[in-house]
Amino acid sequence: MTWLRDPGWRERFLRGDKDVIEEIYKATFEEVRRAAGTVLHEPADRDAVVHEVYLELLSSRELRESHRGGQMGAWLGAIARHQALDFARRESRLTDLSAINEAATKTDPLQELRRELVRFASRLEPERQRLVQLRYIEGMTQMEAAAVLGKPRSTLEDWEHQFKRALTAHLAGKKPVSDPKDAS
Amino acid sequence: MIWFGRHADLGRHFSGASTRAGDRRLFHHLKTCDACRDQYRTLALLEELEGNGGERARTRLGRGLFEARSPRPALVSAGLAVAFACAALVFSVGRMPAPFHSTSSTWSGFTARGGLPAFEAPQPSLAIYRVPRDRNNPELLAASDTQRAGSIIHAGESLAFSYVNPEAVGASFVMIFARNAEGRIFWFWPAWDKASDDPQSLPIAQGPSSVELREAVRHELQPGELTIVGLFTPKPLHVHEVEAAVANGLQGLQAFPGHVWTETLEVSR
Repeated sequence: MTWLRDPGWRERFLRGDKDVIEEIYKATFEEVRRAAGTVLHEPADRDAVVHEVYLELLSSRELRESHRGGQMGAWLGAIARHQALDFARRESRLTDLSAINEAATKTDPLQELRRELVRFASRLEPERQRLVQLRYIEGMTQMEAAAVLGKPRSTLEDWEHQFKRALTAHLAGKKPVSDPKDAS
Repeated sequence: MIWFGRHADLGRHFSGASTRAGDRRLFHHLKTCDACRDQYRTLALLEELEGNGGERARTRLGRGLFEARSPRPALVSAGLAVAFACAALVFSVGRMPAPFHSTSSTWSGFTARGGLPAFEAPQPSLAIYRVPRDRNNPELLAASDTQRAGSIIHAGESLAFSYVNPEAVGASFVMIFARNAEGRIFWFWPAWDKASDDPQSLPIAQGPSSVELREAVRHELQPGELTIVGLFTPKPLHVHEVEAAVANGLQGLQAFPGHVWTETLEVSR
């Protein structure tokens, strides 16, 4: 998407009009997050950079003026990638910068989580196991899963709340794996 | 009060109650707190696995970035805040029985929203329900259309609430009100029908179950951001003292012992 619709719109952008920046945010978020994610695989770090990029876009006229036209998503994505590299250097969470892309293809935290989810869910009660399958393996929305399971959405919300807490504790090694039903 | 704790910023972030300052604090904190990094990773990855995960992430991160920020003048007086509240009273349309199906005061059909408000221990929370007007007879509520409020409510709808108040927290009273971007306060519980009155917090039950408040309340809400506040305290408070405390923002609630639950919604036409 090219963000030079008319002089008025660009003027609002340069002024830092919140509605315009929010519009840009909605249209470019995925691209910016993906760009940061190529460098930073830790979700907290990646999202910190995304947050920082848009904060700067909101607050820095200098940054906004540096956009000369063209694809806003690509421009912000490039900024996000640079900031991610700076972040990695600052935080020393990535020491071998030349291995960035290689690392991206070797490790997929989502796949790892999926595997862990399956292991963890196998110890849950069948209905809750099915919920995990529908929501996090098949990618159903809460409403869709509620319809399949014949349960009120609010019940699923409660189960998910408990499940997330138990899984978080399990992954952090704080809770014995042997009794997940307790917290399911 | 847990609301302002650094670890609690994570819970607030994922439960839809982010603020710009809170998110900045959170991302700074995440650099050094391994426990919170782990929790963030798990929750963010789970979110990605959900069908609409990308959209949820965008909404989650955008909430703090684009929060409505209309700081009121630093010298605004408590009296002015009361004037706002009195204006709100004028526009308060009224309270009607909430269309909950249960006749029991304790019910389990719904549970509290909030993702992970805290990881250390359960905290008090509210669930918000939208109750639209009947299309054929706007004087009545469309009880059958009651639904859990998402991030958007519509002007003209009544709101109903349920709460969960874990015993360990020690809260025995609640106040529920909303504050819009201009700082105007709308009272839900307790009801405030006369400006000369100074009603106090509602006594509430303690326990792990959801308890409904059996009235739906409608205010003339204007389109824009609206923060719903549940103020859980060990002792009752009066509306005047709470109005004075939030004259310059919700951070004024730190003055009270207890727990503050908030959720920011968008009111649309």
